[in-house]
Amino acid sequence: MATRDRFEELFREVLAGRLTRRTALGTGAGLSAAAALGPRGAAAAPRGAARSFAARRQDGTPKPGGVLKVGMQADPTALDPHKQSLTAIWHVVEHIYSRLTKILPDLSVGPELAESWEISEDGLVYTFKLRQGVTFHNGRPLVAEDVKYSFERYGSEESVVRSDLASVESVEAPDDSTVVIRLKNRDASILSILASQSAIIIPKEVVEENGDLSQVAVGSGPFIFREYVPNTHVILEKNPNYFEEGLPYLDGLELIIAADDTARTTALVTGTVDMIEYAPLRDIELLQSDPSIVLAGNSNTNIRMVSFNMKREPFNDVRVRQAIAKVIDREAVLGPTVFGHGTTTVVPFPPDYWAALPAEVPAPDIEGARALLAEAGFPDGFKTTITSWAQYSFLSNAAVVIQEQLKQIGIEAELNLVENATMIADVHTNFNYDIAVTGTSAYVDPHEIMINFKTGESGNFVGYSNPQVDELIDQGQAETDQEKRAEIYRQIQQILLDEVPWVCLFVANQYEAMKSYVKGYTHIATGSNYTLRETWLDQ
Amino acid sequence: MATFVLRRLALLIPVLLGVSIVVFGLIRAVPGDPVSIMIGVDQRYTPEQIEAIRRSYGLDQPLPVQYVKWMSHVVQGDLGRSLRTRRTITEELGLRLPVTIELAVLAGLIGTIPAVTAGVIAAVKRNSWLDYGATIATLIGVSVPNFLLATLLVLIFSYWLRWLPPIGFAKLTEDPVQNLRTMILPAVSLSMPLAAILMRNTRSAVLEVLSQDHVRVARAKGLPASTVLTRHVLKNASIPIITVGGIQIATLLGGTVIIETIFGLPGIGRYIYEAIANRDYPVVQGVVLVISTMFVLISVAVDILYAVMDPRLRHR
Repeated sequence: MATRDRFEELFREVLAGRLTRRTALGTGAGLSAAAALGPRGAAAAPRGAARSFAARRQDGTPKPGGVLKVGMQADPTALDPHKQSLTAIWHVVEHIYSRLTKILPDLSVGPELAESWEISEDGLVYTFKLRQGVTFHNGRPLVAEDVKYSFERYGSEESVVRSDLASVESVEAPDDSTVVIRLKNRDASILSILASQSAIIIPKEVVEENGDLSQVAVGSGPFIFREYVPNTHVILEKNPNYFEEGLPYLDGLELIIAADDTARTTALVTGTVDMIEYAPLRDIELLQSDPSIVLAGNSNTNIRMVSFNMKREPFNDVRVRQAIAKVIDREAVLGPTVFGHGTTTVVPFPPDYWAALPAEVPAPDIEGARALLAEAGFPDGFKTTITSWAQYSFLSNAAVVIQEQLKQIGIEAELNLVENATMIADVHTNFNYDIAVTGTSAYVDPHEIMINFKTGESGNFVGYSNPQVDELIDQGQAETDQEKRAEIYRQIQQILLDEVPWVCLFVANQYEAMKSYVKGYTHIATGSNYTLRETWLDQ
Repeated sequence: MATFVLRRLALLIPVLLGVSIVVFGLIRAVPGDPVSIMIGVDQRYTPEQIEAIRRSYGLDQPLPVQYVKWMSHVVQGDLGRSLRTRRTITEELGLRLPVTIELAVLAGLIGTIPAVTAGVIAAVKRNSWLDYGATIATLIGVSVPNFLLATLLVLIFSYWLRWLPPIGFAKLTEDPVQNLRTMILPAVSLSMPLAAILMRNTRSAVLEVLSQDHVRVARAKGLPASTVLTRHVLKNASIPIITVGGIQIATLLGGTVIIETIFGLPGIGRYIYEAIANRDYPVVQGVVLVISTMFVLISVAVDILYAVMDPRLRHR
């Protein structure tokens, strides 16, 4: 596949009117990218990245009607978010189902099905008041009992996303419009978890009738599910009884699966679709130069990093990890990976995220790195391996650049690009690697990233352990005051900068591109497209 | 003739049994586990929780037990269910197989008829500009990988000329016009290598026959050139052409993996690729079994064609 990417690149350059090829370390593959590295409900937003396109809300008076065709980056494969954690599933079901809460464009948590909520003094009991008069698409009223059922299924043994609810003790429905969620421990991230893709409210009878929700979807959201043809399209129709007054404006959505980047861009340019998600980063200039197309987007929270297997020598030596951190030139990584559409960072958060430690991105320090390596007993470097995802060129290309950079201090790394299943097994599960170039998915709450550094957690695939950090992670989760939380997380980030379990590289930008007659769409940094319910066609 | 066909068909059973064991073992031998892929890299879990999910899919049972269970369903015509989509594989194949078959048939037509014609003309008009032109075209056809050709075709016919849509598949039964509009570019990209190889083989096969004595005799006794060509040359040249054509049409199925992804077609090639990437065991097993059956059937069909073309082969 490597060759295919290179050729594609070449043609894009020709298209964009540049005949010379810029630097490109062409590896990586393009077959059917299954979206991010996995799932996740949400993200927090860094703003102010150089190339951010403002979300557009004030677009005039909305006109109802019309069907919007959207080019989607990946096939959902099925529609049950409790059975697989896949971004592509979320990008379909978010239009069909409702959740208690939702993530607003400014990344705070707002109400959706819940009209309001109260939090007890000790922070352990959340009482939600539900909206009245909400019905499922099959006509049955949605009541508190449905919320209880949905969360029981979400947290059941067979749910692949049950860990989201690790801090939930019980969910009760004292009456039709009240839901009480009790926690085992204080958890500041719970409200954003309730807005995640898996926290949808589902009708029990539909699950029982069909066995599961893989091929059916009956929710209470703005659009009604009509048809899913695998690898082809999902057809949704306006829900005339939707509870948000006047919404949606569109008569329907046609989500057309266009996994290939060239095909997705071409489909938008030629008007086969009205909008595309995940506008290919290498096509941004091309799309910008087209007067009939507008872009919405900015950076997301998916962090890309180099991580070390600290259970193996020599990476159990902090000086080796520090030396590698010193030699890495993050700016040089941005071009070949995300075509410059990203922001470098040394901490696991985007620089303008509320919990981020303000830290300069340092220039590489080869001499300092050599000295540290010599101190650790490797004055001439050593041989090792770098493992990364063959399917995601933004990671495999980063691995190639880093392989080159490590040569400056004598570290000869063999590149080991593997497909997804092997990557999950070797790196993310079994500690069977030396250095990995990998990433996380988007998130809203900082706890979701920090938990990866806690001793013994399954996300802690580097094998890092520091009792002080463990303690701080628990404190951060329990604290509800944002300023105090940020303080705790900054302390953790300072420790991580010294001990270097990860060398954080960059966060990428993410854009949706649409024809200029598509109005009212707001980009959400979580990657969610739920604002399609507020979108309308000006034609 | 009937016993010949039956004997060939009987061979299917041991071949497919072998294929079933190999694919069952191979997909489990590669690293990676379907359940951890369904969970993804961001979820937290304990080994017990993973085990519970594995149990719910029957993946905790010993391999021989799983194999026997699977086979006992297969012989009853039940290929099982996908781990990820929970659809039955028969249902998925019903949806996807027609797409790939249509693609292969179209590519086959585009790849064979003009190629054989061009091959014959190139041989008859040997060393003419027609022959050189055809040879150069063949060289390009063999050398250009189909994914590059596919991207080029999208650029030319979708991006610049805007004649054909880059995506937007519709079923043949529902919207035949849209279906053909989305099928034509993939079929052309897929057929290119086939056409090139076939044209080359036709040219050399026809050339070889043309130089033989019986052709000279036919000419000497005053038969018109067209009769010599159709009755004496083509019939004899057809055996090697059919052989190569048969093998190439079977390998078309392999090319569909990339082509179906580029053009967003819901066919079987893309389906198996995704199933392998996600370690969707039942799908990989079921689809490989079906593709192998098709492959074997095509070669049986080729064998039968031999027998039709050449009576001497019927009694072997």
